[in-house]
Amino acid sequence: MAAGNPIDPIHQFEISKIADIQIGGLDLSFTNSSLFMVFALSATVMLFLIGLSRRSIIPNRMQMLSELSYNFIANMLRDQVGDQGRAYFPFIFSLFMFIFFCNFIGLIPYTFTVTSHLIVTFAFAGLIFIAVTIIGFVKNGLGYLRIFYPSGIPIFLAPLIVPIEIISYLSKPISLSVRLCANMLAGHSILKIFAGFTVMLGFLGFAPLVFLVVLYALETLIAALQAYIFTILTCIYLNDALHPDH
Amino acid sequence: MIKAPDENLKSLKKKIQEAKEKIEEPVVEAPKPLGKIMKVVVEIVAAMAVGLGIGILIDNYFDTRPFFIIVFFLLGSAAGIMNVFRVAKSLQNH
Repeated sequence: MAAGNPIDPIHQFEISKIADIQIGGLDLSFTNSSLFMVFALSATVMLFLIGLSRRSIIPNRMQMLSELSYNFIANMLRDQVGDQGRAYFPFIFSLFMFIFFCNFIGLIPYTFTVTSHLIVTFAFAGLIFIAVTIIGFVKNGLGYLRIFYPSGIPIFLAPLIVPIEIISYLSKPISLSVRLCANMLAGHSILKIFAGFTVMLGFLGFAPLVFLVVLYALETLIAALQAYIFTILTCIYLNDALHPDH
Repeated sequence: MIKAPDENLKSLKKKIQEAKEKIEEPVVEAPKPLGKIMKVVVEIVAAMAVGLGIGILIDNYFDTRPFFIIVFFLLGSAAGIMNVFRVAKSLQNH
């Protein structure tokens, strides 16, 4: 909580240094953001270490959870990309689990939401965008440029269509990252604002409290949904790179 | 009293069918309006921002402000509408 104003919905997104590290003029400090990235990563690893340690035929809950998440992403990748997408499964799966746990850990009070910072999500989306572009050119050669000029369009429209297609292509990483970040940022701010109402209203605070409970359920849904949307759009972009004709 | 076995089986069959119909109905996927709206809005804004960004870059380079900003902002808006069209199409397929 901020010292001056007890109800400060933006304060939860502040980055603070835990260990100050400066290497060659670069600020590589270990911040609370880094700490919660480590948490998300260890949560993923723990889920699979514990879940898959027994490997029984009749799975317990942890094993079910890890196997379900594996199947979920494997099916998504097969539906969207087809068999060619199998090579990219490790990346897609890690991406989904990391974002999923970042979103969910951020829902716990007094934690930090890594994905509420645009630079984090943009780093993901930018990396995906560059990787997908390289994959597209490697797999299709210069024929990949055809995605900027869809077939069946008269040649005199090309000067208009090609820039539009290029802008549309370049806007992919921006829309991908802004969507995830904005959802997280808005959701957590609203939660904090309504929690502030509860404190301010005293006895009458039960009304916003009821609303807060409902809102929290919605935020849980959004946390899962946004991780899903981010992953499925990555799959769709990958599919466009592998099969540009469709 | 116990009914004739035929009748009993028939009523059971009816019950099973009714139960099945009840189960199968909600399988039809409910649309997720929240995610859809967010998707569409971001798509338009992102394309506009990219168009505007390219316009500003070109104008700064050639010193022709505001000509390319206008052109690329319009192109960006068109790209945004095209993106929305594509999202809507892909949502319809799923």
